[in-house]
Amino acid sequence: MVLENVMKLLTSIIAKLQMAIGTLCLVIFVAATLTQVITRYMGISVLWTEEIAVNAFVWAILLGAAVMVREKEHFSFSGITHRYEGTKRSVIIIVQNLIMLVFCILCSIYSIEIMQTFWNSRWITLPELKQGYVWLIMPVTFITSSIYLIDDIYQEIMKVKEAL
Amino acid sequence: MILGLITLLFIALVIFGIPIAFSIGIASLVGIATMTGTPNTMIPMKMFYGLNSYVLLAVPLFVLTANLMNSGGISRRLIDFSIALVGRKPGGLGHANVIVSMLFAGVSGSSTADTAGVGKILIPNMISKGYSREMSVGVTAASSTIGSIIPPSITMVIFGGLTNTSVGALFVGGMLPGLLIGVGMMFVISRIARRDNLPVMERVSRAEFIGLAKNAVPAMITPLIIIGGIVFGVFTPTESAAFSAVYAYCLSAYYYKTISFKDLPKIFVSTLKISSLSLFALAAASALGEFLGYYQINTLVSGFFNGLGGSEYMFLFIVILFFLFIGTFMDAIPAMVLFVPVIYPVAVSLGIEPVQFGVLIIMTLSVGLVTPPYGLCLLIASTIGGLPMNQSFKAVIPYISVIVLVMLAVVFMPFILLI
Repeated sequence: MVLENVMKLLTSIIAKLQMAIGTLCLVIFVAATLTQVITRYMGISVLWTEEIAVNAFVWAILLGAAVMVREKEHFSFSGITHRYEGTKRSVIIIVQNLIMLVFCILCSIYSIEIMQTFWNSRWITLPELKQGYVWLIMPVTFITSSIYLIDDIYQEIMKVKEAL
Repeated sequence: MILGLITLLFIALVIFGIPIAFSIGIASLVGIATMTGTPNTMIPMKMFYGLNSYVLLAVPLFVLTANLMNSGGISRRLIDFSIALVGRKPGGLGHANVIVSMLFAGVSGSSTADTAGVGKILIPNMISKGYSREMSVGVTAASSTIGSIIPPSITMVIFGGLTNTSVGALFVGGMLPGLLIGVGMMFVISRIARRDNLPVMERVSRAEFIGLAKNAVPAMITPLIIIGGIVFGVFTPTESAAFSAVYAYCLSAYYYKTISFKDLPKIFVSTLKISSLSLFALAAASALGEFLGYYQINTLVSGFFNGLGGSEYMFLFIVILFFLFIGTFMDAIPAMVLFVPVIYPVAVSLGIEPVQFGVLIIMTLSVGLVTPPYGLCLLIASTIGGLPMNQSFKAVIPYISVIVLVMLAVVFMPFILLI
């Protein structure tokens, strides 16, 4: 029970943080896009707006995608899941989550590798910034998705235990 | 052999209920693992590069515009204006339903938002005025499909992102077919109105009409900002989407006074959630593209079509039939993400214009919104109207035939796309 509450609290904090950062990124890319047009018509050359906008966009979308794993909102066919009730349904959800978890863990490992490869590369228009900060979103997405999946697997196991 | 096994794996995962984006990702991972000399790090790398595209920024921006407009209670204003405009014709509420969908399409670009927003108000209204449930549900669901054809259209941005086709050209290409579908549906309503002696609405006074127009016209300017901005070279599609979001906020906050600054976080969170679903699937499809490219799936598919005679029309008809079938059980965006990267190079090799191909696919998939079992607009409208799914589907068939006729026009008369 304690572990369950800790997991719930942890995933809730991570999800809120992700949505807050994602929303901030959304605001940044809207502002950067508007700045691009306004400065263009003012005859001022601002080169970094597009790169900032795209990088903020990638962060926003991937953060949102991870939270959607927690909220189980990704497009899927739910026919099999909804055909069953109770323990059977829980078992199916556990297997589904385990498959996704293996994928997310593998992608977390590959993402860390790729982030390390690009870590010291520089932004084109803002060379003082490292590309690694942008690539960091890949392991963040997959690691947090893994945490959400583990939490869900745990919740379903508890349901099965209760039913038995 | 490997290609067949990976396809089977993908289908099995989808049927088992694994989300489509993850099914694509897992199939890609297994596929890439079989490719000699390609590291598995290619998966996250391709996913990242799949999103790293300036044009895709337009997707959340159009979603944001739609969310701002919906929070501003735009549906009610557009409906009142449409009824005042065409309500005096026999079957006036049916005509108003189509008009409001065309106006809503230019504001939001979301068909399901149209069905839910407009349906909740117009379906009960139509039933209470003596229209049959079939007519009320049928016209509401069918006219909503225009949302993804008349610009701005989120599916067009996705198609543009997948194929590097100009989103501006796709927007312009969708205008006339969307209008033709609307006019065609109104023709169907006229025939039904004459046959069933459908009621007309009371006349609205000139002063009332001007008041309603004042409420609706500012929202109707949104597509002009988007299309005008793109066509006259003022904005790129992404920039036009950002400006339409700002315009939508100013309109809702200062003109209609229905939202305040405090509502923005909620609207932004909802925008982020909706956008991340389709764009994450697109990112995963980029990884799949690497695998399909390695096994030269494009050559296999084009070889298949060349074996059938290599006719452009034959190819287009097969593609239409294929997407009509896929659309019955899959959303437009995942369907495009999955199949367009495979089929598009074949279309180009046959000399088909990318805009013609894109508009056709989007129109075809829009039919899927009103066909069972996964027609979201049909599901929403039938729930609101309290009509069983099979009767609802029967009711939309005359309108589907209008879409199919316009699709044929796009196949044989591509000049209507203004390209």
